[in-house]
Amino acid sequence: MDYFLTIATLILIFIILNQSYNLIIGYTGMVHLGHVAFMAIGAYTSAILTTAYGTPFWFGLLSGIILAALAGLLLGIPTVRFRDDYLVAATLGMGEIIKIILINERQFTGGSTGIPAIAPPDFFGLVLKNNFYLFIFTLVITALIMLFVWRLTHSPFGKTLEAVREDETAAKSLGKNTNLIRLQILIIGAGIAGLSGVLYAHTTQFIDPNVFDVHRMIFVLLQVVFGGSGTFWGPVVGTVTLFTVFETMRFLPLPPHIMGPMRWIIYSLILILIIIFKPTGIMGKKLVRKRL
Amino acid sequence: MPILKIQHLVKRFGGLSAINHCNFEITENSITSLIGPNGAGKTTMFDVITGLSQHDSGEIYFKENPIGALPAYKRCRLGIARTHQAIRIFPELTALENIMLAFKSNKESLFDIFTPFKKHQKKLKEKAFEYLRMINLHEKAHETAISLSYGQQKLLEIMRAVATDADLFLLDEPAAGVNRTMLHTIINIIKRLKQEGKTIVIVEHDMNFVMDLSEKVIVMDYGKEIAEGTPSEIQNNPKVLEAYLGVKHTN
Amino acid sequence: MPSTFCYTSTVMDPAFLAKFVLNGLIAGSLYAILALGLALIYGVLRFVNIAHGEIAITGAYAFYTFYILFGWPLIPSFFAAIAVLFIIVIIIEKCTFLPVRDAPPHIPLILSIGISLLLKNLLLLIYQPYARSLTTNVKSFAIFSDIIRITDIQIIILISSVVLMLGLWAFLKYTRSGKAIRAVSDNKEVAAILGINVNRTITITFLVSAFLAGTAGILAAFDQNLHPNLGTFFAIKAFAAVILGSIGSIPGAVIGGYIIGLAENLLIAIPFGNFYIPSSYKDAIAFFILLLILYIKPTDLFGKKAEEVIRN
Repeated sequence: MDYFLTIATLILIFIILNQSYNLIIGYTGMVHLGHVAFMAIGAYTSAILTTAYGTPFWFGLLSGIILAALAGLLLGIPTVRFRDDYLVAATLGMGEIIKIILINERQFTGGSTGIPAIAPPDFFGLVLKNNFYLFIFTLVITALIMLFVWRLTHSPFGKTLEAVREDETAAKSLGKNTNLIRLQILIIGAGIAGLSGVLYAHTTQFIDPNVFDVHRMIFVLLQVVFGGSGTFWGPVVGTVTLFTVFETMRFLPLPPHIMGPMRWIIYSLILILIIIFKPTGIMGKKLVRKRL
Repeated sequence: MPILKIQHLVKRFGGLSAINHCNFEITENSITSLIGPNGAGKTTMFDVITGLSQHDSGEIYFKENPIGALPAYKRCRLGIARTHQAIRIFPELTALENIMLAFKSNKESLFDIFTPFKKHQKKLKEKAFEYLRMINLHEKAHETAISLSYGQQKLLEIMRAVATDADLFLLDEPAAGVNRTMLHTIINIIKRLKQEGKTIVIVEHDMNFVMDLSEKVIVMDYGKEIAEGTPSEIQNNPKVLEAYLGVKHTN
Repeated sequence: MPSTFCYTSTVMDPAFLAKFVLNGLIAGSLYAILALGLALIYGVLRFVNIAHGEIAITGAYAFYTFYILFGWPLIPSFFAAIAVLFIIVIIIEKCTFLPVRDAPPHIPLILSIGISLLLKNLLLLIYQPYARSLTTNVKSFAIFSDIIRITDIQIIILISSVVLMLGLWAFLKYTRSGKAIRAVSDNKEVAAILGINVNRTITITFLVSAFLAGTAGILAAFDQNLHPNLGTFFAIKAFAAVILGSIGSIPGAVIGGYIIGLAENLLIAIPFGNFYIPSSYKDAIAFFILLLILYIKPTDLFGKKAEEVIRN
């Protein structure tokens, strides 16, 4: 029972992460490959503050979100002007740089061994040690985030995001400050990713740099694209389906050195097939490919 | 006061001067056509005026204010609207959403998501419906723009520009590829804009369209203005005839 | 790219520096060749092929299979490896990139991510995550009167790189396929109107790019141990080089490659006051430079005006 609760909690955490990524890649059309770095910043900030400095959970949570959002701002300022290919290259590198920093700055981050024994979330004495309470807590936060995303994407601002994705030149011709719009959604997406990072750290109670590597980034990309980028339920469908598939593969009677690559081979085949045959994803519209 | 003034404008692409020390003025509330052989620099001129392309030297004045240093989106907010040669609608958004994005009073800043916007949006929706009604697209309001026909998309883009309530309209080949009925609708839209005090500049190749509608015609060749005048003056201008090697009457 | 060094001298003497310059040139040569392949694909298809690094490593593993596992001699192994690589690339191109030819550019981009994952894990499955060595006896030579040493492999890398670059230049300039590639890179529609078979040209571009990648992979595998993770490593350096040198530009790719190779190796050797950049940060240098330049100067190395380089 405990196992399923933990899995369910993790699924929720990744739903939060993927919804935030969906805002950036799905609604605004920015192919950003450094998103997991924001999750890492949130996770490590809270982990370091609560373990090494003994700060309360809520402080770690807020700091994690704020620092991640700040990273979104700093990394975003130069890159929002870039066109797709430059953006991909720059953001791919960002992820790598963050990981290298995490590994190297051993005294703060514990290096490759990571940070163990992170305390579970506590609210002024009420410690959420029980997996069930942890799940409920995460569920509440997930629901709040989903509400926020719903509001955002169904607002006029949300429509300007889609306008930027659909045709940036036209959006500029209508007086939209497209660079600012992109920067704003990047900051929001980064902050939410930071939140998911904090939750991850305090749920699994252990983090190391490998959790936030390029493989995680590709998971995120796959889950959002598969589920349907630019749709509200897409990330939920994608996360639940693929996470479940991935976890059940763990139980196959294969030796680890075969199973590791096998999972990835299956994952990559799913990505390839969905991009070729239904690029809008499971929840996406049927494509009318009659572009001018 | 000339609503638009171009002085010694230069725009180079690599070694080529797409706009070569061009000068002209556009009078307020006029309909002016910008014509010239292919490659004369007309679309580039629109790009440079709206700021989608950065000019290399020269001045651009809108309502007597220099706008050359402003980014594209700011220039548009000042009151310049533009349609493009290759239609630039938002393909996966509905026709209605396309129009609504044009409204200047849209509560579309990030911070507006925390304020109630439903009532305001409802009013804007009705307004957008009216615009769609004018081009007979109100029944397709909730269809994605890409599912519309070429002509309908063209009308949509023009109507979207109208919805910005700009003072200066730059229309790039509005007549290209549309049938007679739609052409008629477009002409009526332009005439109505004029009635409302707006200024329209049109880049076109369809000479009937140009000659019937324009009060003034500016001819460009090799990035420079070579002639200016009323339609009949231009038709008899030897320099113009030379540039075109024979004026073509399409349609 | 030779692994970490142990430097005892804190004074910058020429021999010391020269060693790093040499390493920089070696690394730069490999990055340049990789970047060229990437630039070619970008030219004709307008997307960054994320799988490029994996293609290089696949070529290296194919070579390893023939040369070490089957024990074939050097030259036949090389050609066999390239042939296998060509078959793989053609299958990939026809089955995946061709169907999405007319899609917006982020589609082939994501597709290439999937393909890179697939290739890398197939390699992991088949060859296991152990580092493999292509050669055991390394002959090293002293040059510049014994101040620096260079191995025979490194000499071969330098010479091969130059040969490949000149070969590519001649190919693009003088052969019909090369000119077709240039035409399609410039304007696909016009090229088609002029009678160029665009699909065939694109396939040829993939093959040329794979040839460059595979050769770079094989050369690199001689210089250091072969491991399936090497592909990502290469890919990142190649992108940085291509972006640095102005995306799509052929000479830019070469220059970008050398800049990164040299910067990586020199910046860890030069003291900034009392501070040395730790050599474990070496891999991050490529991106630091890239981000720094893109941030400070919104036009790239070739000074393309902002709105033509950046989004329009």
